[in-house]
Order: sequence, then C-alpha cells, then structure tokens
Amino acid sequence: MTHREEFRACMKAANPTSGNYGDSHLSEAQMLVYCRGEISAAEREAAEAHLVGCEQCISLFRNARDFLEPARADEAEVTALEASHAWQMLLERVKAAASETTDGARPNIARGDFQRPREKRFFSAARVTFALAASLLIFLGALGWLTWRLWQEQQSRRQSQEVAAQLESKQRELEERLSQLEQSGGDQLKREREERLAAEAKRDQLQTQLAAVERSWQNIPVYSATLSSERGAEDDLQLHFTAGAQAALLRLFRNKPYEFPEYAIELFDQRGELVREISGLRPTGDDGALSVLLHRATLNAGKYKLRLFGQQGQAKKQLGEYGLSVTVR
Amino acid sequence: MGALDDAVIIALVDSTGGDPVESIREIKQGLNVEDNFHWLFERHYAQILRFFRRKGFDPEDCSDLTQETFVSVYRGLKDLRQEEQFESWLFAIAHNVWCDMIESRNAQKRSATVLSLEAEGETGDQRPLVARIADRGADPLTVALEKEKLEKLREALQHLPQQMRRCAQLRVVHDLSYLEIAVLMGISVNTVKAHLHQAQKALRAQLSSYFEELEV
Repeated sequence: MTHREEFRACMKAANPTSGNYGDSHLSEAQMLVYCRGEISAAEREAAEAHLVGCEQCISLFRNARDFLEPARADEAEVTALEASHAWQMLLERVKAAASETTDGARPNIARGDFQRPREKRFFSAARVTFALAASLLIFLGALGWLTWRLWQEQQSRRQSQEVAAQLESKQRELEERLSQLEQSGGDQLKREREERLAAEAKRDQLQTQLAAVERSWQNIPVYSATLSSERGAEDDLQLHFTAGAQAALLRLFRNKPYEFPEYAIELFDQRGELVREISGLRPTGDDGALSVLLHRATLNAGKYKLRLFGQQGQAKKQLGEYGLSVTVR
Repeated sequence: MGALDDAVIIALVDSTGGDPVESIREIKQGLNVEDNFHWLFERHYAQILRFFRRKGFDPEDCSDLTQETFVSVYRGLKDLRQEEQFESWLFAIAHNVWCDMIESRNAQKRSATVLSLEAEGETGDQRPLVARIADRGADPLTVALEKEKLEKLREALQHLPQQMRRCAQLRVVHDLSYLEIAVLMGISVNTVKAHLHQAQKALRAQLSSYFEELEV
C-alpha cells in the first residue's frame, strides 16, 4: 500500500458521513435537478452533505454529468448516418417486440425502468399488484392461522373439560375410599383400644401376682445353719435356704467312720417331736462322710435338732461328736 | 454566473424545436407513434450514445446499450405518467442499463477469475489480500498507533472549514477531479484548488508525524 493509498483509506475511515443511507440516496431525477442547479439552498446543502459520504450517489453524480454534459470538443461527433442506421435497427427491434406483445408475451419494460432497489418512491402497477397479492396472501394466511388457533383452542378446551371430569370422578372415588378408610380405621382403633385395655388388665393382674410372689418370697422359711463346724450331739442345726435353693446336702464326718457299719439320723423340731428319721446311712468316699439330702419341700421353717446314731444289727448307739458340712443347692 | 464561471454549463438545450411532452402524449394515445418516437430518438440518441461512450465501453457495446435503452423507452413509454419528467426517466433507464451491464461483467469476472493473493478483494478494502491477512496478526501497539492516527486525522478534518473539508474528502476519498468537485459543490474550479491547497497545508501541519506523504 502506498502512502497515498494509506492516507486515502484513513480519510475514508475518518469520514463521519460515510455509510449506508438507505432511502435517503438521491434518485436519478433528484440528481439531474441537483446537477442543473434547480434546487433550493437547503436541499442542496443536505444533498451535498450526503454526497460527500456516499459512494453510490457519487457514482450517480458522475453518470448524471455524463448524461447531461453536451459533446466536448475532444469527443467524436455522432453523425446523422449513424443515427439513421441506429434508428432502422431500433425500428426492427421495436416492431419485433410489438409483435411479441400482441402474441401475448409480456413486454420486458422492467429492465430499463425504475426498478433498482434504491428507487422506492415510484409505485408501478406491477408493484401495486404485487402488494395487493401479498396483502391478500397475508390476509388469507392470517385468517387460516386464526381459524387454526380457534380450532386448537376448542380442542384444548374439550380436552380440559374431559380431564376435569376425570379428575372430578377420581376425587369422588378418593373421597369414598377415604371415608371407608376412616371407618375401618375407627374400628381398628377401637380394637386396639380394647386390646390395650386387656393388656393393661393383664399387666395389673401380673403385677398383683408379682406382688404376691414378692410377698411369698418374703415368707420363705429361714433355716439357720453353721457350716462345717464341729457339733455336739445336742447342738442345734440351722439351715438357711436361698430363694432358688431346693435342697441341702448334709455331710457328717466322724473320726472313726467305720466304727459302725451303718448310721442313722433323727431330726426333732422345737417341740421335741421327731419329724424325720433316716437310717441305713453308710460312710462313703475317702473321708467316710455320711451324706444326707434334705429337700426343702419336706421341711417347714424353724429350728431342728439332729441326732446321729451308730447301728450294728439291732443295737443303736447315739454318737456325740461328729463334723458337719452343709451345701445348699 | 458568479461562482460557476469556471464550471461547465451542463444545461440541456432543446434545439429540435418540438415538444417532447406532446409527442409522448400522442404516443400514449397511439397517434403517430412511429414519427413521434423517431423524433424522440433523434433528439436523445447522441446524448445516450455519448453517455455510454463516456463510460468507456467499446463502440459496438455503446451502440448495443443505446439500442437497449431506447427499446426499454419504447416499451415503457405507455406507463410513464409524468411526461414532463421524461428526461429524468430516460436517464434512469440509461443508468439502469449501464448498471446491468456492469453487474453482468462483474458476474462474468467472478465466475472466471481465480482469486490472487495480490489481487484486490470484494470487501472494499483497497489493500492487497496479503497485507490484510498480515494485518490480522498485527500487534496491539500497531493497532493502537493506527487508532491514534485515525483520531488525529478526524480531529484535523474537524478543524477545517466545512467547504474545505468536503473538497478534501471528495478529492481524496472519491477521487473526483477539480471540475467534478466544482460542479458538485457549485463553486469554481479555482476555489476548489484553493481549498485543496489550504487543506493540504493544514493537514500536513498537524499530521506530518503520522503520514509520510499527505497529498490532497
């Protein structure tokens, strides 16, 4: 790019009035009037301001000058012969065109007429026809669209009504189900309440029983016993049964356990009456202990006296000294 | 004529003595169509032919385009409502014929030309394509300098008197001749020259550090 071209490009870019002016372009007629100077000062100023920035109108200006300027001295003259020859040719073409027109062909006027986009002020018959046709088409289109919209609205309204009816019936059905559920729920509630009352009564009963048991536990007999102690023949025996114990194992030890082949014990209550007699006891084990099992159920609460006898045949001898251990089970 | 002393007088002088409006009305009424149209043809043939010649077409094309213009005139004359606007209408037709021809030639060129990297594109950018592609990667400093240069130029232009500024813009941007500028602005060629000289001087004084060659 040369410096001049660069300056030109910058001037073009800096031109504040350059750009697209749309309908404000000058028409051919306006340009001719402008070039002839048959224009007011204000119009001239407006046209000039536009021309400075509009390449299209500058081109039209040049064409208008070329159209209006008379023959210059350096231009070749148009001779009469040339004009006559041109007229003959034109006449032939025009006649041919006229015959085409009479044959029904549409004359091609459009090419030379005011049909460039920049010319928008002239309303030709073709344009009016086109505009009317376009308007009719738009009207028909709008009518069709409106009809279609109405039909669509009717359809949608009908669908809405159907949906509403379905929803209503569904609501009724749900209400019925709800009332049934409420009724059955009431019954169930009643049953549950009754069951709860029964359970509470049972609980009270059980509590009563428990209280009775607890009271009975308080009445469990207490047996005094001194475990594994050396006792004399007249010593008291106290057995104490714990809550879960069912029996007590008594083991009696003697220094000479095999002095007698068999032994017997007698238990006396506090009144001195014999409440239990166990005979035929034999020493067992290494220590020769005599084992006696006393069941809780067979004894009442209280104090008992225990007497040990050695037996040999029919002879029976009370023994004074022995050891005793009690194991409660 | 005051300021227009140096400008070319371009008013069309009707030397044929007839009345084009009357002829057109008769043609529209179907009266003496050929004679009246012949009269209109003779009256404007040289003007239209000159118009196309000045556009730089070869003689054969000029003849064809002139024919094309008058055929369109003949066909459209019946629909012309403002007979007194005939000359403007004729110019519009000739201008459209010229535009069609230019478009047709451009279309032919587009379909036949392979784009060269050195050729000018269609974007209106005057620079070669290579330069434009290179510019896409321009560094921010260059961009900022270009922006500053443009701003300075805008400022300098704003400081010029309106008529002087317009003369400079028409000359530099649109490449109009002194005479064209004079006709366009309704001033004399000498005034245009003076304006351009003053504009160049003023712009150089303010922008010499930005533009190496500043010629208006």
